[in-house]
Amino acid sequence: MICFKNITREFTTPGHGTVVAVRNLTLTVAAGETLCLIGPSGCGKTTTMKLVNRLIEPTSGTITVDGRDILEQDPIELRRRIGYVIQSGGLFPHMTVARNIGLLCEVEGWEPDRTKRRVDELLELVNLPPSEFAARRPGELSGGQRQRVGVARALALDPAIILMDEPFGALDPITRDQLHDEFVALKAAVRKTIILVTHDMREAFKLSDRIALMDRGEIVQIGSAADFRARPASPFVETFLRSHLGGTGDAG
Amino acid sequence: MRARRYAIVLLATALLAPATSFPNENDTISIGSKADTESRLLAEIMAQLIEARTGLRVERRFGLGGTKIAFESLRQGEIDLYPEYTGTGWIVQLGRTETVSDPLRVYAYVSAEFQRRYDITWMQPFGFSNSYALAMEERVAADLGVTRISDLLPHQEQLRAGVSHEFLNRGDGFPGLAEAYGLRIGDVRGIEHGLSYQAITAGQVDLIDAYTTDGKLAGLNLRLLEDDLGFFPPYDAAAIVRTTTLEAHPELGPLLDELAFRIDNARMQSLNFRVEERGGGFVDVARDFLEEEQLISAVAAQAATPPSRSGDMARWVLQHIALTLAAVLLAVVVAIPTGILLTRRRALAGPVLGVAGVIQTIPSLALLAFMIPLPGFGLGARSAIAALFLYALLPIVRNTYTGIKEVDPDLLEAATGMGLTDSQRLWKVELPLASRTIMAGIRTSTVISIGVATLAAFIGAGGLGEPILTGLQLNNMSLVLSGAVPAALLAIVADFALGRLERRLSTDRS
Repeated sequence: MICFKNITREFTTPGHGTVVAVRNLTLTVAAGETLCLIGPSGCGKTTTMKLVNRLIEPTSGTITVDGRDILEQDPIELRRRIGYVIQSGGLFPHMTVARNIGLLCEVEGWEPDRTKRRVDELLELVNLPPSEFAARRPGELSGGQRQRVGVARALALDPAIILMDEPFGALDPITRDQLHDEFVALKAAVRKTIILVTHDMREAFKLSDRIALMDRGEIVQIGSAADFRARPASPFVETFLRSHLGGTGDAG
Repeated sequence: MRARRYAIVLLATALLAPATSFPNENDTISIGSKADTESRLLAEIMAQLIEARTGLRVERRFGLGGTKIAFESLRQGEIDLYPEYTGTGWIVQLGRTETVSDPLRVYAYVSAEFQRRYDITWMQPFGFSNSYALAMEERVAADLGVTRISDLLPHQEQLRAGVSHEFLNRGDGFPGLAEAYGLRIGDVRGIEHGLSYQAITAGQVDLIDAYTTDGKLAGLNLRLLEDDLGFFPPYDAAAIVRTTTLEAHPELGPLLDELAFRIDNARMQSLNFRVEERGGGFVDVARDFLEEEQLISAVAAQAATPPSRSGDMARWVLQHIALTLAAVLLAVVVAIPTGILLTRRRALAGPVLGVAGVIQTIPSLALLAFMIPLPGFGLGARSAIAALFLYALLPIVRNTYTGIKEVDPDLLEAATGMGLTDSQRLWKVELPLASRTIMAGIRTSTVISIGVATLAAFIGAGGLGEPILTGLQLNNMSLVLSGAVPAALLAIVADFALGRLERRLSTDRS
């Protein structure tokens, strides 16, 4: 379980003064839940996600994971217990697929045999036959394959939490639909707590248990897809839904 | 961190230690010379004399690149003696500006001042003065009845002079001369000194400047005009020796003074002529001279002849590779960590790259000269390696910095976000991704170093510059090529091999 309590994050840049990216945010993500953070550009959704693995630290407020304050933990240990997936995979181009996935096992000091077994298992899980893909380099993969490898890499140490930063944003619509289906199946198979940042409402409706819609650093509505459709909390939410779902409201 | 620093120092020591030499060992006299034929020949004469007549071992460090380098080497004790000119001591070392035509006064002054200021002794002069002079074709001079510079005055309107650019512009050259004699030559032009001899024999000019002991004069029918007003400063040649060396070896002073006044202008001219125009080796010409003067016996001369030049090529190539390799390895050890540091402290990047850039703009020869007076450096391989090392720094530092800086920030965020430590991120992500760029920097540095290392011969560090330097002095093109071609080949091979390595690194990342 991840709890944000009164989190504020300000950025100060010379010449631009102080910008409040996240304002007094309180949010609880239950264990095993998939929460989508969505909203217009600059709404603070990515900042909120990066606060969890301390890529960004709060100006004020506390975040706890399973009851423990993350600011009191070693950031390296914290991050190894939290999988991280970024747009287009963020794979290291000089390493093979297998080494990309097994990198954290390697730095954790696993025996090579154990690492290899784990890598093969993960490749099977994301539907990439190890015999065909383990030795390839990221440059030899399609966009969808890279994204699958990125997910497999995030799962390497079997973390309880996965953070995903617009993971399907750079894919063509057909591949994206296919990966959405795989994601839903995978989620059922691995049972992780997932925070997923997206700007695509259809994706949010399809993949998440709950959605938090943000605007100017604050959550304007949080709830299930059904809640959003039945009871938009404000004209802003209504407008946002209409513009993203084309007014049909039939996605998910 | 500390352990790593020790490792660097140890490595540097290991690389430099074999290059160290000990010219001031008790039984060794180190003789230097400047790069010109005359200086080398005089040095060789003294070397053979000492070898034949004393039990001392002689180390030859000939061809030092100019007065400053030779003199600094002497002051630092890198060499024990070298041939110098009184006029040079007067103007260059002692900084006197007024012209004094009395050779005795100049000699007395420089020898007293050198002793007082530098603890360096002027031996007695060899007997010639290598000064500027004006020369005319013998036939023309006879027709006009000219033997002295003053005799030119009645004919000055119709004379054509072709003089070297330096002579044309130096205060103690043509302008001063014209003023002292009230000379107004009708047509004066600056021409390359090497061409002036052809110009005068072809009758295109009537008057040229020359050095009074120039070997080329002996082959031509030229008349040197007497400097009847004593305008040109005297350039009497003599050995200058560290006084401590003379005290340590009391037999040395009297022996060197046996050469006093043995060589007049005509004799020096003909000795230079034999080396430059007849292609006689320094060793043979020096030995013949000493035998003719009965300063050594033929038997002793044979024994004193240094080993032949066979195997020189292998030595030059190996020295060249060793100099370059040591410098580039040191540069890699220093520059890559520096480049990495700059990516962590970006505010330092501007100043550090700026300093490295400024070092690169220092002319190579000047950088070599700066090294000599530094404690622990001096003449030879250490200074050469240090200078090459300084040149090699910039491309490697810059490419390390740029290579790491240009790694995709998304990848760095992925690396940090997944839980890599700073050093894991550096070793597993940043350095591998920057490796091709870093390799390109190492390649640039290596090729530059191979080129600049040809100048190492100027400070007695050997390498392929040795035949180039000697060949240039002797106008011996095949000797020049025997150094230049292997140096170019080395550069091409290194460029090719490192280029292959660089491309291998790049295919690894695709």
